[in-house]
Amino acid sequence: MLDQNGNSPVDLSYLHDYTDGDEEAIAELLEIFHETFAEELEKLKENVTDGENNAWAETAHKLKGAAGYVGAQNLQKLCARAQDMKVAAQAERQALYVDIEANYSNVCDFLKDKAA
Amino acid sequence: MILANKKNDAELKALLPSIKNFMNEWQIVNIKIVGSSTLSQEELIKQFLTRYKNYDGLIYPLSGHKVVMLIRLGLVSNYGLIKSEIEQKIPDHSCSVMIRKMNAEGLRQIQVDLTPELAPVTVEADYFDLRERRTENKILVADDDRFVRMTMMKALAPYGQVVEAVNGKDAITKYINLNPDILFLDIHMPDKNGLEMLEEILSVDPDAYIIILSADSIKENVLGALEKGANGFLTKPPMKAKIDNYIKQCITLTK
Repeated sequence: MLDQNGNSPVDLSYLHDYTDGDEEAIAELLEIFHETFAEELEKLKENVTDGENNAWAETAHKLKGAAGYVGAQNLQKLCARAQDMKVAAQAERQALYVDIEANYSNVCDFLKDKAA
Repeated sequence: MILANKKNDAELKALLPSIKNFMNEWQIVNIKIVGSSTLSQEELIKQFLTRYKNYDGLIYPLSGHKVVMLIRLGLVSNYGLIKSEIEQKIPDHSCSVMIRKMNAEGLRQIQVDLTPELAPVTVEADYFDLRERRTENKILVADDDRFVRMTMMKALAPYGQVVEAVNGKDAITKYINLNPDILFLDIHMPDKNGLEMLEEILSVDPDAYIIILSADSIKENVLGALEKGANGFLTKPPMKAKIDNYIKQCITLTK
């Protein structure tokens, strides 16, 4: 599940530092990450609209923050791009949404493999 | 507001309510002069007042060998100098200087010292003093993202009781009820902007210790937060060392 450059899609060093390496606590936080990220991703999908859309940008901002905490840098960058698209065409938003969803799926797979 | 030397009770009484409105601009310096010279208390204080007669502030003798000064913030940077000046001026005496924040408790104390017959001026609850007195650390994390809240709470748990606020309104209510030593405040929340909340909280608790959190470390956010009185700014996700650093700088969070 490494990216095309052979890099890990996540870096859990922040969570590791916050929890003092407590694996159980990290697992608990990752569970919350999945729950909340999936909810927000759903909201982003609902806001794949044409023209100005503050809700799209606000949701993307939230996703960007969450992605940062798990060190998912590529995902974070995509969300940052989405945040900047307060005014955009629907097709443009749709394309970016697909990228974000795919990247998140990659993050999920990586974390699932890691946990196994 | 410029306070000239006020040396009679009537002037002081007239002054106290207005001091209340300018508390943030002043600090209190309590000075106690002790020694074994033959000078009477009256002579001692007279010497002190003579020395500082042109001082732009408020000086008033208290009971015993004590004097209270109100000084504009930033006017005097070296209080050791005041101490040595006084000790030079009044031989055979030593002087202790205690600097206090100009807060509600300080104002109440001045009232008691200076004008005991007056009814107390009604002031806001003094959050800072209550925080200083209690034995438990309290931390409030305000962020509308549950994952971010939980993560920050894990990081802060070793430092004391950590409470979460899920939106701006919740943050204000919990701030008032909890009186936290430190507040980690997100900028982007659905109902209220963190920077507006910062101003709101500082208007009721000027000594609040607030660290702004944001995933956007743009100049506007960072400068906006610091100009409005935040004690710090953390970009999400903050490094643990940076969080720890702000914790160490929080005066009341030392239990």
